[in-house]
Amino acid sequence: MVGSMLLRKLLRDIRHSAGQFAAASAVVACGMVVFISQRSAYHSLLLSRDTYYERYRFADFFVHLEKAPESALHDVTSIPGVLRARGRIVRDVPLEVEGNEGAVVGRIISMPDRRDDLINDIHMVSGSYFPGAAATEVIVNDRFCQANALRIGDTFQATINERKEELRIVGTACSPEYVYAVSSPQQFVPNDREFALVFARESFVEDAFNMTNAFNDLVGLLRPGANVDDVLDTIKERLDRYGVYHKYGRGEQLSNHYLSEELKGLRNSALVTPLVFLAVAAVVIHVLLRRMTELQRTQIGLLCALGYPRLRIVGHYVSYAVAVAVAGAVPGTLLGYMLGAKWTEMYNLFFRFPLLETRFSVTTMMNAFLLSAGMCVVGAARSAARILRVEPAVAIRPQPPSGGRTAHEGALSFLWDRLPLPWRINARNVLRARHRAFSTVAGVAVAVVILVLGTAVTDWMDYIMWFQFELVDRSDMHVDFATERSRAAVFDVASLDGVQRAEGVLQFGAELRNGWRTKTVLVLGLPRDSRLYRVYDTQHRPVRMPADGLVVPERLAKALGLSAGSRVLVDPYLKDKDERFATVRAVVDQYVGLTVFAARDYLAEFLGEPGAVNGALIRAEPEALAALTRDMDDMPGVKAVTATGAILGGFEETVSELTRVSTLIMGAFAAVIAFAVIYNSSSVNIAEQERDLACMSSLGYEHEAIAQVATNDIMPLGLVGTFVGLPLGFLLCHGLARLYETDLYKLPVVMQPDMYATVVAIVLVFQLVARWVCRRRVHKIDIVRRLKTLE
Amino acid sequence: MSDSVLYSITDLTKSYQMGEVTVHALRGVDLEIYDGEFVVLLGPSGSGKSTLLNLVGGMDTPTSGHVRLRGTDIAEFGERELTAYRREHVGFVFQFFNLIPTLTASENVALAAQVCANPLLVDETLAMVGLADRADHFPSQLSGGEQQRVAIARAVCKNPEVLLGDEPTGALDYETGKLVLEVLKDVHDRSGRTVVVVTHNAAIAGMADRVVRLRSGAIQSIESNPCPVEPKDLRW
Ligand SMILES: Nc1ncnc2c1ncn2[C@@H]1O[C@H](COP(=O)(O)OP(=O)(O)OP(=O)(O)O)[C@@H](O)[C@H]1O
Ligand SMILES: [Mg+2]
Repeated sequence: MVGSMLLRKLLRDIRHSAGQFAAASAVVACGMVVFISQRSAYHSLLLSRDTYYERYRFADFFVHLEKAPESALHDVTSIPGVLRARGRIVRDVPLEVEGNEGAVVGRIISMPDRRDDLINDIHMVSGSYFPGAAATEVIVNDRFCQANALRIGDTFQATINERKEELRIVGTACSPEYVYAVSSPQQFVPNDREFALVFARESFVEDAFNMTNAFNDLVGLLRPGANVDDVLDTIKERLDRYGVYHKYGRGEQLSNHYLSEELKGLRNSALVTPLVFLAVAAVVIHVLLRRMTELQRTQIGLLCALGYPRLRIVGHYVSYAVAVAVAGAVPGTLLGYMLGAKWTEMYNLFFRFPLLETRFSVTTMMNAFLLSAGMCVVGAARSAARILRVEPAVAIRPQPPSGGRTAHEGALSFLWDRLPLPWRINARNVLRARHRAFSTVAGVAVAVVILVLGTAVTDWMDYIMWFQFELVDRSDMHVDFATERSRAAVFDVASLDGVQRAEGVLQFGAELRNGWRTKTVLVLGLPRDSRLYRVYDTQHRPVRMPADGLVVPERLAKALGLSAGSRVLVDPYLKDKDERFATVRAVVDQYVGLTVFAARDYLAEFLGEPGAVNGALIRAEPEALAALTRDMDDMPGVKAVTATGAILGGFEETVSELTRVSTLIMGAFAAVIAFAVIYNSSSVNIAEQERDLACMSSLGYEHEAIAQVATNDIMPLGLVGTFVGLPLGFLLCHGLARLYETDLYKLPVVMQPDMYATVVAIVLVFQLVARWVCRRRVHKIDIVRRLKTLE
Repeated sequence: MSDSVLYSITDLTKSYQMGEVTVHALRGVDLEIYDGEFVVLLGPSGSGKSTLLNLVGGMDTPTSGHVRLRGTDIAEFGERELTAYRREHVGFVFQFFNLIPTLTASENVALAAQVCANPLLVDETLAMVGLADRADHFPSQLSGGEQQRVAIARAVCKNPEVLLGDEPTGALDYETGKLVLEVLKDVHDRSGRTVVVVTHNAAIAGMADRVVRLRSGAIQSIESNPCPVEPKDLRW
């Protein structure tokens, strides 16, 4: 006879509890799918990012300025912490692309004719780096070309310095600086159709912008160990006369910031989510093995009598848990890697890397196995401890374990008497096997939490969009002027055909300082009773711009320690403007970007330029929008035109598709959990009640009636779980929203009643399905045989 | 039958603490069990037969006293030594067979064989109890008597020093019970191993070499039986 008999017994025990085994394994598998997919996506993104940054020398610090002569570069490279620096010209200009009616913005970035060891180099996707002699050769980011069906050799128009230039595409590329290609913090998702990166010859750009031997953008690498803030401070000092607008380290660089936040989230979620699943698996295994060791008490006694060492017997039952882990981890890992590749692909919709590879990591796989086996063994721990306590002389006796407490008939006798007879069986079961009832409640609660989170993510997105584009920004387009203008410029815009309303605004970047705390923000001056841009306080009441002082978003107030009445130092990123104190008048709600508001006229006074504006918000007739965009692009003094809808349009397609997919996956996971838990504890219930059920059958009860008795407790317990899960889910949303709050955005905690209703309905369906399956099981019990057998 | 002493039990007591009450299951038992004899422990319910058998089998530890197997006191064994003792020296047969329902007859026997050092061949022991053709049947496919014979084969295949049976016929009818006793006797005759059988059925005493009567946890009498009868001639 070959093979260990204990192994055979294990395999047969697994076969006899196949349904429950599969249920527990499925939960483990879900955990592993999440773990492996997120882990591998994380690693592959991390790897892609690091190699990308390394190979293309992504800068350590960034400085935007007005205009500095090339000679100023020496002032920077002579700073001890600076390894190298590169001066560039970067400007946003309106583009005209055939077949695109929208307000297309191109970011012109100057590139040297020869590219050796360039800081913030670009990765050529197709074509070549300025092969010909023509000054107007440009390289454009490949995503923009794709979105606009542009090929090498195609041309488009750019309005540079009020002159139309025809640019010819000689290559497509991507840049480590624009992995997440957004133009500003206000645009929080890439819009490849309306935002282009245009890499142009330095000589051409210098001429076009009258910037010969000058630069307005500085990027550089640090020496190892150098402190980026100190270096930036020194740079600001040395270059201040050239008008430093904005300075920041790699950490605050927009694309990198989004990428880092995503990676951070992914890393956390790759750890926490699988743990939740594995905890559920542990509970399922606990219930299952507890029942099994109870039922096999005499078998355990026999093994003792035969002289099997205790630990081997314990090992035998723990093996069951390990088998669950392995059975779940193997398909979970495979599926995880498949999903991980998909996941990484989906990330590629937002992030642009030259190459993204899914890395198969043995360590990750080992961790996955250890993690799942570990949690499953934890689930088996109580049963193992019970085995260690078994006294062989007692265990070998055939009497079943003491039947447990009688139901609480004392205090609840009133209720008890009113309970229909079959329900009393259920009530006794719940009271007798509280751990099992608890497992059902906990499992359903976890499923509800997962569903709440899943729908909340979709709702977050919807809510932010609704808040930002329905409540706050009611304009159709934003126009930026090249310089400060008098208010008359707004009337020029307002008089264009199709414009319904135009409001002049004054905006600039600034550093806000309160003691040692500083933040870089956008300051937006609005008309005091603006109708196109409204600001709301944390209770969502509209806030009128105060005559003087600032209105700051809540996140900024927290970060800088400000409240209404505080004074804060404002250092405008404008040439020749000194820092001054301003008073905070109100704190408002804001989800995206970091924008400080003020009355436009107050800001103009603040800058010492009364009556100045440098942009306008416009509402227009929908059918006139395309023509208006073109007209305004051609207007003298207009730097850029952005359509508000453009931000929205690009957003909805990609994001909602993505959230739908992930919500669906979450839903499937929740279903697995709810089903596994209900099925498992019902199976144990049914097995334990088989004798009672057989008895009822012999008394003449119908199968259906018996099935009902066996599954009566599912819905009430599920209901309890649902109502435990809802507030838990809400709290978790709250916690997550706080966890993911950054300078760039915060997540709203949305409590739409219909969302909760949906979740409750879905969980109800899960329960009904689980109940149906359990009932079918009851129908299959061979009741006659059950009555005959002893035990 | 040889005269060498296999077990020497002296002043053995076992009491259980049940809350306030102390139950004295054994109150000072002195007994010698000889190599190769067939002993029947007889007594009314609750007299301590199972307790005594379990102590001899190393399933339990006494409150006081000694159980010496050829001079080694198993009463002083710890958990690990007791396990090894049960593994190598004892074969148990229980009233309710205690077969693993998910293992076939031969697998149940192999389960015991695999754990000890010098087992007999599984197939041979099954043949010995007359069940060679039922080797691949699961317990649920066997009658009670057949199940008990599998249990005997399981005990025998360990090639133990002593076979201990606690009411091995207790769950069986008259004919089947006798059949099982015949198998036990047959094993005893062929292997020359010591067999101790607990029963409250006085008729079974007829097949024993010696009959030990227990009452209230103490030995009431020990009788030698000069000419044991064959199990098939027993009547009750
Ligand atoms: N684990 C235990 N805890 C408490 N009391 C026990 C335990 N095991 C046995 N007893 C008590 O010890 C006494 C002897 O029990 P034992 O099982 O040895 O009797 P027995 O002679 O085998 O009876 P039966 O013929 O009914 O099997 C009884 O009074 C019993 O109640
Ligand atoms: Mg007994």
